[in-house]
Amino acid sequence: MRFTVKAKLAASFGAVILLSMIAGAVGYTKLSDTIATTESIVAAAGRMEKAMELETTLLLQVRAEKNALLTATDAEFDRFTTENATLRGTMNKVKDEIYAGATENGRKLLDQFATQYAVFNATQEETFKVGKADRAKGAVASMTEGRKSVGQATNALTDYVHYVQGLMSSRAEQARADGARAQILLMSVVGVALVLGVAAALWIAINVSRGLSRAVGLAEAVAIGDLSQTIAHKSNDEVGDLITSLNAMTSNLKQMAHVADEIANGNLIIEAKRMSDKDTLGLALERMVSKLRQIVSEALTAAQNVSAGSQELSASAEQLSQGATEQASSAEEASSSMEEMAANVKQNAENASQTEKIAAQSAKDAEASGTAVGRAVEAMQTIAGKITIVQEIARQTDLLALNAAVEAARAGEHGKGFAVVASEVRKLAERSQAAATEIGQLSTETVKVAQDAGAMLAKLVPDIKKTAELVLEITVACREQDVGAAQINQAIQQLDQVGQQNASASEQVSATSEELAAQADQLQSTIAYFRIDGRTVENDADSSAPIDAAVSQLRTKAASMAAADRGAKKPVPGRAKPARAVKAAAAGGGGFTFSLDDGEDERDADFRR
Amino acid sequence: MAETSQYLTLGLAGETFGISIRNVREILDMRPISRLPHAPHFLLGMIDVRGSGYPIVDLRLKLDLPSTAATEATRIIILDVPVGDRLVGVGFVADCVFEVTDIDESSAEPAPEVGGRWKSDYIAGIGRKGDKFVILFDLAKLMAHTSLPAAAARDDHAPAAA
Repeated sequence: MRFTVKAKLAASFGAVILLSMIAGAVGYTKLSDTIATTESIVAAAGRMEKAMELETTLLLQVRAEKNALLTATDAEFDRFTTENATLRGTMNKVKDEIYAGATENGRKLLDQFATQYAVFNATQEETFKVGKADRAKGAVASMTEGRKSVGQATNALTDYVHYVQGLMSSRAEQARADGARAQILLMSVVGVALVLGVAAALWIAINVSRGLSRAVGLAEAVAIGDLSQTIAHKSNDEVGDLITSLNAMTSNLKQMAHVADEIANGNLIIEAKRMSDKDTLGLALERMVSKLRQIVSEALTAAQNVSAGSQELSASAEQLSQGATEQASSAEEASSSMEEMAANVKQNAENASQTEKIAAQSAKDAEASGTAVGRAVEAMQTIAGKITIVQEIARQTDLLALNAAVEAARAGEHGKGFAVVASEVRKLAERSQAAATEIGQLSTETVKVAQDAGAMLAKLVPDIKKTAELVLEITVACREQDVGAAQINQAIQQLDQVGQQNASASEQVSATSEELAAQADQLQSTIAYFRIDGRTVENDADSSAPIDAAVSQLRTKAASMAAADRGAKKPVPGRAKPARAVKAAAAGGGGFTFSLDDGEDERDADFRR
Repeated sequence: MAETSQYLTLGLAGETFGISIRNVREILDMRPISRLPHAPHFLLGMIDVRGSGYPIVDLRLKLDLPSTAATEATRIIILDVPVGDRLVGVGFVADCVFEVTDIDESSAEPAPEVGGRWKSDYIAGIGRKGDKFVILFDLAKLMAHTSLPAAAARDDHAPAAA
């Protein structure tokens, strides 16, 4: 049977409580006895008091007898006898009361007194009977027989009183003796209980505190991480249970520590088992192992990815190198093209300004031509007017010549020479008429043509003015183009700079890739510390080779790129000096987008008719 | 020499007519013509030439050709028309006057005969000038049935008589 601390406590406290109960019971009984004794003493005292009252009443009866006998009148006599009777009743009543509470011996004595008192009463009745008739005789009787019976009654009563006094004193004595005994008994019982309690308490306390202090020592050791200690404890109680549990805890912790140690040694094959579903440490270890496995495998995959990424980086660096070279040559071509274009633009601007001047001059000239043509038209119209006069003259000459011919013909032979002259005149007249007609037609046509020319010139003037304006706009546009060309040159310089940046960036990329490869290598060797599924993470040998290859490839690419970039860079600074200055002035302005494809803006629309 | 004689050629409705130069007095420009009441339709009126009045005959109407408006080429030819035994000055309106030319009278043909009678008696003959025909007027016959105003005839007479 387990004798637990609870049982020990129950047993010791039970013993103490039992002893206390015994002591209490003893005390209680003794106290009850004492109370009973005291009550009997008090009752005896009451009885004694009543006996004293009886004595007094008896004396009052005697006095009433004497007083009755001493009275002169019967009335008074009767009054005293009545008083006496009353006293007698009181006497009997008190006597009965005493009797009720009296002891056996007391009753005997009271019976004696009652007998004596009955004698007294009878004597007194006799006395009164005598005394009523003759006082003297009554007095004599009273003095003799009466006195004698009174004495006897008083003696009997005194005996009772003495008896009661004796009773009281004996009872008190007895009570004192009882109290002393009870005192001793109580003292002894309480002393035993005290001793028993103290002993049990000391025993339990020492046992429990010794076990607990050892448990505390173990717990403190565990608290500071010392798991090497165990406690040997034989007691079969709660403290023993505590120590057993602490030992079990220590061993479990040792097991956990072993698992953690294995994990620290890189052994991820080990299975961390939880003690229960509430095993926080066990659960944490399980999760730690599984997470570490996952992380290690992921890190492995990542390292392989880094290797693959290094190769891709190498390929990208190659492309970047090619791109930088192409960019350099393109920038050179673009720069020279831009120079040509800028020269062309300047030439265009000069030509345009000259064209503008010429156009302005042309406009003036065209206006002058217009007025000249107007004057020519007027002159032609005048000519046409004059020609009609000539025509009229020719016609009339013709008519005159015809008449002359007629006259010559009529003159016959004599008029023959005149006829020849007339015919010649007529021919001349016809020729002049034809010429005049021709001139008239020509002048009319000329007038028409000149009017057309005037109209055309009038139309030409605004066109030329428009041309001058357009040429002015062309000049402005050329100037803008010049600015744009400068900006393009600047942009090309920026492009060139970007190329240089690209080259340096690719160098950095190669360095970074190298670093990356080294880091991946280190990562793999670090991860190799862990063992998953019975094999060390051993593919570092497989993966480091491609990484190294990629790194060396990258290195060569970077070197070739740097060489290509240096080669491409050389012609640029000499070419770009003025643009550099512009760029320095417009520092931070950035580039601008220059669309050369289908860009028709609103200004282009102005160059259309 | 006797075979050729000189003619004044004139154009009328596209055809060329000839008038013997002996009958031609003067060629004038078209000028305003004073109308005569109750005159025949071909008699346009009278003109004054240096103090002498002449009746004006529209040749077109006289030859039953449609009348046209006057042009710059339109001429008035003052002719000596034989009326009976006297010469009367009459103005003829022609479309145009070409020239004074020689026409071989011997080679001139008479008006063609077509079987019936037609009003061809005013044609003295049809001469040639190059490859073109020239219709030669017989002024006496042309004006035979024309009753000219007596005043004109008288006026004409007076200078002729003088």
